[in-house]
Amino acid sequence: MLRFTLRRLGLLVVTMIVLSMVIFVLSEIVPIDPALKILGRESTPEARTALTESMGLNRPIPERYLNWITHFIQGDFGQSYILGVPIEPLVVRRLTNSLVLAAMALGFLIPVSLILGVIAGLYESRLPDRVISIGSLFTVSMPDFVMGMVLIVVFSWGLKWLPADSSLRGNQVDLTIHWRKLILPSATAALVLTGYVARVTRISVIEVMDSSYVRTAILKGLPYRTVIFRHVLRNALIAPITIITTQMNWLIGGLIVIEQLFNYPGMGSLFASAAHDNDLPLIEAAAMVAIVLIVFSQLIADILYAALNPRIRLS
Amino acid sequence: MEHPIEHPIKSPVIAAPSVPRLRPKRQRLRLLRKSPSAIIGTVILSFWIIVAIFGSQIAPYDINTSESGAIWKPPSSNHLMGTDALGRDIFSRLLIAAQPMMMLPALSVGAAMLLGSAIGLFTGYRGGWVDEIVMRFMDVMMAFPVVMLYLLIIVAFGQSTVTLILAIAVAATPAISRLARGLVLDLRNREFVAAARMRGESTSYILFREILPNAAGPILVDGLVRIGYAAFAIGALGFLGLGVPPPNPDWGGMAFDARQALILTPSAALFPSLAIGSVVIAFNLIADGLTAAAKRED
Repeated sequence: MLRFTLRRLGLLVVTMIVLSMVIFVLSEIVPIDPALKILGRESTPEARTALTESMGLNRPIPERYLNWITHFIQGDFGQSYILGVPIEPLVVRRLTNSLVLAAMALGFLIPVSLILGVIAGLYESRLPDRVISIGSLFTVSMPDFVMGMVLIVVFSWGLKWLPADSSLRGNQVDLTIHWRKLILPSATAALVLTGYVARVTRISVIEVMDSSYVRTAILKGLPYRTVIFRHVLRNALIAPITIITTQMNWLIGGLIVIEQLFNYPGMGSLFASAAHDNDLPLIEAAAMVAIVLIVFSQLIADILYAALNPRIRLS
Repeated sequence: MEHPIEHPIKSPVIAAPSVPRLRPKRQRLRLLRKSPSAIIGTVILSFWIIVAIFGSQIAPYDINTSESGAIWKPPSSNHLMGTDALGRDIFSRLLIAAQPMMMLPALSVGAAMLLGSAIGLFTGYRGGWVDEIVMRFMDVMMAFPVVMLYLLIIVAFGQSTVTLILAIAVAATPAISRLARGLVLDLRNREFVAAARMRGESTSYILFREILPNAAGPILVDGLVRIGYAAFAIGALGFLGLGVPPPNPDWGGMAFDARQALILTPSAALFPSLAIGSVVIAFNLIADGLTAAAKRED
């Protein structure tokens, strides 16, 4: 197990390094003069040259990459061109908001998708399965903003139960005060994944139900309930649980569209506004944070999968 | 990496690449006809293709003409889907926007399929360290959240239709090359490939005349799903204001603009949103029907 973990860890470090290079090169291509961006059009060429020099932007690319990546590792993400503030506290605040939103989305997603998937799998090709499968095909196909918009129209405009605007007015998210604002965006995110996870769960349950050990368990006269809980679920839930873990990075760093729709101040909307304003250091920092998240959620998924499934661990 | 992450909802339809038996084209068409979901999908898609072709003739208004005093009007007999923030006819804009929505996803996925299968064919057939390095890099690219990759590429190269196609093609290439490679690994040890090698055929002949035709089926079905998601992506990017550059209308952008008027006229946001949803569902239904029918046959 330890060797397995270490090998994965090594692979993920390489992944991180390659991705950081991709990000750096892509942001190098951007046809923008940072000094012009910071000082504005009225600035003198001399002032711009001086700033370029003091920021070290005239150095060769490999040197700047090393400089940037070492600062990033030390937690110094630089300054935003547009906002003129240090990026690190900003990212930390947005990341916390995103984590809270992701936790709430998981709270909806895990029970709903697993229960639906298991029901569909156990009633394969019968009415409950048909209904759940068609429903999940639709949620898989619906773009996230469409889903969010439908929720807004129903729950905020029609029933007037929940607010459609989730902006926190610069405050840190606090569940005791803001929980109502978090329901619609987190439900949207959960709904986007529900169909997918339910489909994976369904297939996995059907496969396990077909296996010889389940047939043996039924034939030796175990009560149906015991067979389901002891044999089927234990094995069938491995795949969906791993899938959910791999989606963690999307829930935390990738809800760009949903956060934009609900005006929620998370990592996704931070990245979107940085991309919109061509705020290079902020784009780089947000993308790097997202990569660290990906790498860790993948590592956790791999370890969890191996821990749940001895065949992988031992091979 | 057992679970390549792309978009959360991109469930790969073909999990393990397997090469179906060869069957005449006619028979394959019949397969499609037998599946009800594929028929529904084809009907929806044909509808949008007709709209894309004849949209400019059907559209009752000019898409950039504003009617004064008609801002965010709900649907009426004058304006079937109401008007937007500038008093423009939403119905006409929806019709015109169907054209890029039908063309761009197909173009970008087509480019990705060419590039991806070329990479997959070559590395899979060659094997060795080239294969190892290229596939590792593809794995790494697949780990990137797709929307973030789109945004990075669009920021790097500037917002334009070409960049949009490029971004979607680049993001889709790694998964396609992986699929193609898997198929080649299965095919390259078959007798007919060995026979061609014995005959002394060149590598390119073997790749393009012997292996590619047999790998094309799964790649095309996978491509269908990807076109659906590319339509989805273009909608999402339009929603973020980074899609088809203005003043051309696009469904995602229309939905985003209409968000501010959700309380006044929810229909203004709902129509373009449902349009995007129907396109994605159509592609999914066709691909679902094809895979299910192929599985039944085997």
